[in-house]
Amino acid sequence: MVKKRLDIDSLFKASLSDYSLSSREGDWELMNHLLNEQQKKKKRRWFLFFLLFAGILLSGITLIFTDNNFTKLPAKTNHPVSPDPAQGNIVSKTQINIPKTLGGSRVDSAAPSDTKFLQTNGNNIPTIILTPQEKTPEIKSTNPLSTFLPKASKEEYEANEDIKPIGKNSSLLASENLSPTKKSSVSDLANPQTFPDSTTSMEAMKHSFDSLDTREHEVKERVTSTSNNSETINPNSIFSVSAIIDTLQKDSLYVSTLSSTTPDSSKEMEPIAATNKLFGVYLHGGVNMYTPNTSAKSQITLAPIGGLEVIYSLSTKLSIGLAGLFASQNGYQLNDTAQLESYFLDRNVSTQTIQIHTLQKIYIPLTLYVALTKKHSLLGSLRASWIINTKGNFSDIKIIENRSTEMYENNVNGYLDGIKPWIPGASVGYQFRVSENFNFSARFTRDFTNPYHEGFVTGVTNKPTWSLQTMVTLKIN
Amino acid sequence: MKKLCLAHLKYLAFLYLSLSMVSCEKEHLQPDPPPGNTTPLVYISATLNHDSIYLAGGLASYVGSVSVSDILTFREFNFTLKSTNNPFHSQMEISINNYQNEQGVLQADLDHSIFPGTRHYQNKDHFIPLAANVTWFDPAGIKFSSDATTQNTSFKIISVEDIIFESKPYKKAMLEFECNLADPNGHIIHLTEGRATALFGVQ
Repeated sequence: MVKKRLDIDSLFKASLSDYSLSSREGDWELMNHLLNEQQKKKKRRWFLFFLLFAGILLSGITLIFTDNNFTKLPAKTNHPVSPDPAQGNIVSKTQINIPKTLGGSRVDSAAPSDTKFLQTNGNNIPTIILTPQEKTPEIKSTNPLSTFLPKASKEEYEANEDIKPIGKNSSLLASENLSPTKKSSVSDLANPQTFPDSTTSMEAMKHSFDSLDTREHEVKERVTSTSNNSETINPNSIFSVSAIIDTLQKDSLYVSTLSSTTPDSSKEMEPIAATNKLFGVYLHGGVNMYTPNTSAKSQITLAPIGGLEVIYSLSTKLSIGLAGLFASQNGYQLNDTAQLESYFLDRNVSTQTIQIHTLQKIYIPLTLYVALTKKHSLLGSLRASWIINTKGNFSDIKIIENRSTEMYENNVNGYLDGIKPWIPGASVGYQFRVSENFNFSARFTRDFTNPYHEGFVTGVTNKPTWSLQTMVTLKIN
Repeated sequence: MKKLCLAHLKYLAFLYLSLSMVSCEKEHLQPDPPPGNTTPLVYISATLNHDSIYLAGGLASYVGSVSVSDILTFREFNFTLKSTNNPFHSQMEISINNYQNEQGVLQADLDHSIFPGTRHYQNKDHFIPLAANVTWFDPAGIKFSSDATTQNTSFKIISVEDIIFESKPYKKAMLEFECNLADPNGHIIHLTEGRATALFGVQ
């Protein structure tokens, strides 16, 4: 009998054309090589993902360390860049800097915070230079702006209709208001009717001008002490006058640029808070594409996602945001069954089954935004997803003493057995800025760990998942 | 100021929503355990001639049942372990006679009949109060009964416990017995090492 079986085995072996013991070792080597290649491909995919993520992170860090001026406000002026006043060349603007003690503001890092210039060069074009060490011009105005405003410029401002709203309502540019004792300019500027955009900002500006008054006293003292060395300003001279009042971004003050060469410069007076606010609250809404992994075919499922994000601007190019996004994801078929039995006269069985079809998650991404251009940004984030609730269909069947009782309930909440509450992941993505308050973004996310505990739920492939989140973003604060 | 209040209101609303979601009650799939023991409660084990048997309610389709039989003025309380797949085959029944010759209130009769002690075996000639009877249906369905032959051993009720299951009262009795079982043709089986946990009730 055994011999016959051997014959049959030989018959099958002989019928297989490619059967040979000699080639078996080579096949194994080939299979081993192919398996290694597959593993390498998987590793390569992961490597590319992390390379992209690390690239975004690295570029962000690089920007942090290279962009040292991220706290400096953009100087809103249309003037050409001034040559060095120390060389006696033309200075096309006069800068009045608020001392650091009044808020630590700084307009130009090259100029000392308490330096003013008034000088006349050979072309009868005055250049204002005021430094504690050098000669002080003969200035009798207490208003620091009027100090450097010649008559010709006053007339020019008054003649210019675009500047009239400022000049008429405030004494800043009016010649009759340039007297040393006149201080109504501050109150006029703080008048909400003058600048109805923001009363709060006006108050801040008022505070800033009060600080300037303090500075005036210092200037007056210098003028008194150095009156013999004063220079004369040609009242008919035409030169550019700028007043840049600037503070740190945190103070939410105004950037004010007044220039005789740009009649529209008064319109540039706009709140810093609108463009340089450090914190912003954004409302996200969009679609989350994911694979529930409930079948052999990775079925892509869509779910709405939405939430809030607080973004902190590290610099003009770099910002970081912490969000809380809620998504109610359905399409799952996570089955969990619990059975209990007991004995009396017969075996009594109680079977409870839950089939979870919806997972409600909160995604908490810590996102680094890197602005490539004004409209295009890359983003990379570390993300944690948090299961807060599930929805499923529940059944309870009891068979006691051959009597069966059944109970069914749909959309029951809160069954979390076998589902990991926290799943870490990472995202890379892109953001397109449609307008100042409206963005579009898309991000790929890969989980780091399996979403379920082993041996709890059935009907699911327990692997880390990919998801694509596309969202529109609305700035709400 | 108004804007600031609105902003704070938004944050508070967000915080409230977050906390309300977090505080959702978490459920676990833990079914209510059905009443009863986690191991078979009722069983009968014995040696029939040289073959040992073990019958348990809930195992191998065996189910225990309790019954009351009223014959004429007599009453007996029965406990049976039978196969739902093949009744009256390999089935055993233990009966305890009422404590009196006439029928009383069911529960009172039960209380007065099932208690620890040593009992005689019932014989086929006359009703003996508190006597016991053991019946065996062999795999072929042939009935062997202790009242069909003479006995020279006793039947012991070791302990009795009142239990309630599904709102019904039972008496759980632990039994030890040895006896002779005979079929109508006079064939005898010697039952030895008989042990059982049986239930008696009024249903």
